[in-house]
Amino acid sequence: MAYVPVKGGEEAILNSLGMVAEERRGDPATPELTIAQIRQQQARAVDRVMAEGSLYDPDLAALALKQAQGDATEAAFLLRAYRTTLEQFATAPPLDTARMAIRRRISATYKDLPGGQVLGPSYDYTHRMLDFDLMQDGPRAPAARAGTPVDAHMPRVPDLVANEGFMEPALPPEGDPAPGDLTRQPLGFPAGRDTRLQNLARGDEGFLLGLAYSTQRGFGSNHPYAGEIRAGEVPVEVVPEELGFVIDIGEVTVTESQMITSIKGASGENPRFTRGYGLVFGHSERKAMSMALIDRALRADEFAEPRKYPAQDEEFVLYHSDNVESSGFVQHLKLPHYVDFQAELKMLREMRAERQEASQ
Amino acid sequence: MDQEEMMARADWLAVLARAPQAAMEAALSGVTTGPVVWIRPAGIGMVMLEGRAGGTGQRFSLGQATVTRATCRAGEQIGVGYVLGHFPRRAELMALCDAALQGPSGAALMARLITPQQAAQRAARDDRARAAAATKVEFFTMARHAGARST
Amino acid sequence: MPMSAPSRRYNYGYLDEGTKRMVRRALLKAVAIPGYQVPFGSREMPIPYGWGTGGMQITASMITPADRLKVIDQGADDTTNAVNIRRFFARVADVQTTDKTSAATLIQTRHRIPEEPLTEDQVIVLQVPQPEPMRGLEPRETECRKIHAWGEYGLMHLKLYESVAQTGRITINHSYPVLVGGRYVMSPTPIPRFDNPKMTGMPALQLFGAGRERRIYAVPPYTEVKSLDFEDHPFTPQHFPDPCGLCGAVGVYQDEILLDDRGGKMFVCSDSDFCARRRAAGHKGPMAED
Repeated sequence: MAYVPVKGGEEAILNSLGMVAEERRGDPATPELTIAQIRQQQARAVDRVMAEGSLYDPDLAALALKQAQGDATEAAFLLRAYRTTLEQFATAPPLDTARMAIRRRISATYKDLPGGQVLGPSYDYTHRMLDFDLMQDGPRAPAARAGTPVDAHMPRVPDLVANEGFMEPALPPEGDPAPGDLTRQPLGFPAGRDTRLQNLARGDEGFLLGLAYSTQRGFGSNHPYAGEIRAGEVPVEVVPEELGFVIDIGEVTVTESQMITSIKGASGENPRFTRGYGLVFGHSERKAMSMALIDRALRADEFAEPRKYPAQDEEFVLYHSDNVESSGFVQHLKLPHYVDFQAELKMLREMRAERQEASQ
Repeated sequence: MDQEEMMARADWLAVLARAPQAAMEAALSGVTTGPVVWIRPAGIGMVMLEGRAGGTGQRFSLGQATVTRATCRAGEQIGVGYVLGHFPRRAELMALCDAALQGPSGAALMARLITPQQAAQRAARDDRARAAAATKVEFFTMARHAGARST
Repeated sequence: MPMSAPSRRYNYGYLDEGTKRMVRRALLKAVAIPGYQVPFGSREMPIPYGWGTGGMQITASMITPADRLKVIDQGADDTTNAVNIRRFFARVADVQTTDKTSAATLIQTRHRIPEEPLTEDQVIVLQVPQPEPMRGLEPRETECRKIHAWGEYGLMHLKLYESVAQTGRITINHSYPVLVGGRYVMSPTPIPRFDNPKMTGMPALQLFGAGRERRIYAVPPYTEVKSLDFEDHPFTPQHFPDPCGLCGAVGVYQDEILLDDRGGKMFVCSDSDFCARRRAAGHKGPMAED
């Protein structure tokens, strides 16, 4: 038999892309999804894509979800790659979560507190039973409205406790330095808390959840309390170079979690509560709480705690939390490796042959 | 620009950043400015949003947000538009409104666009805050509202 | 009302000019310290990490419309990843592409160095999945940095020694570690050790990009690159006994092609351009059509 080599790749790739497009659209008799539908009706998926894509833009996140057929990790990757092409106009002063327009705010450490427990929209109080009414379009009852709005300024719970001196204060370091940005400077170790928090905020929700869970199951030693969870809208301010004064350019939805953990009284200090912090784009309490637990675990050195568990190991956590990195590298195994494989195969054959010779 | 003018301008820019495109198009349709030159055509970029550990502590980079900006000269005035998101046309309309608001037709545009938009935005915020308030669990409502728990 | 004209086009070469300058600064440092891994602010690219984002950022930072780009994976121009990266640069850099090794000014490659010797006028960019040669022995980056700083490569020699002691040979078939300029131990990327000897004294500039791990390193032209070995167990590249089934070449790296389910197979050149050119010049292997 004789063989003629042909160029294989190009046309097959183009046809594969065509097949993706056809499958994404599905049955043409079914109406196509709009970006507004995804943004409004799949908002938690949009939130996750923005958080892991590290880019706040609900429309583009919805577009990414549409393009990725609902695959959140793939959608986050699309946002990340798009980010690379944009110029950074300005940095904004840090978001002030005390000014949040509260949608939800709860505390597990106090029964009642200034501003109250605001349940907001949450699946926590639902029964996880499929709602077959949603199989059909139909009018939905509007939510109730109270006569008076929630307080415009609600104090953060740990700040209430801090006022009594029981809580480790959250103060900026000397000079309130601008934070690092790990998308511009590669990771170095030991990493600052700023770098760790940024890494966690864009980390994979599943990875963070599993690690946070491990700290509760014995691979960690802190007993945490959910000091406060809050979600809502925070204004974004910038100082444009052409204006020279602060302007408000819109708002972002974020979820903040303050975990209050173990009492410390090392080296003659008064015993007090320590804290872990979580802040993420969109409404995602699962992720914000996981982040806060891991933030606290990673602060082991600060409190002279032995670093024994995965969640306390900063190289382990920071290098493996990013799903765009991990997904790419796990899946790169799909790329051809026949040069390497051939090298291994060849060695095995040679070693086998030598053994056979030796035994004869 | 004095402090008061700066604050007035910051206020209307915040309103414009949240105003629907159609409302700005409609409000501008009757406004005549001088010739418009785009000093900076609408461009999309990012702003890095920061948080603070614990809410008040060390700053950290939370992630970026897309921002669209535009700057124009309309007649004598320089107008800027900055809006969160991916909205070239809205940024341009903002810049044109900002310029017009500083000029002779400013008062009219204020009445026709900014005042009603501001009211609408406040009403929407209030509506959301009242929906949240309806989910509030109050254990000591009466006492606190009566102000009886002060020490 | 007048509209300005917002541009949605990507910058030439995809990366913005600031990022390109950042990458080029890292490249200069890498060239100045041969074999040293320079950290750089790797960006997210529109292909996944582990698929050539590091090589792609180097290429994107250097490419000009006057370049002729060749992209290979496993030695071949027509493998899916090579096709995809070539399509990308044709799209964002309006660059001429070529299969012909000698015609290329810039060659981006994964897992191979072409058979045809490269010249001073060429740059080869290797995609690096794991830049750290010590990683398999020491998972911690902090420890690896110390090993390189002190030049304490005992751990690597121990690994090679253990391999010899257990199997009578050094069993590293690809990513075979090298010592660059007598100073830094470097991973040559997963090229087969067959390609290692091509690296030493190469007239072309060799650049290495690891996007996910955010490292760039380089071997400047005419630098000594020595594969680690022992006096009594010298380094040996792979050797293929049979000629290429299509072009009859010997002394080249080969792919093994399975032909049927009864053990039928054919060995052909891994370097598809090299093979095609030989066939065009009239060479013929035992399995080629008349």
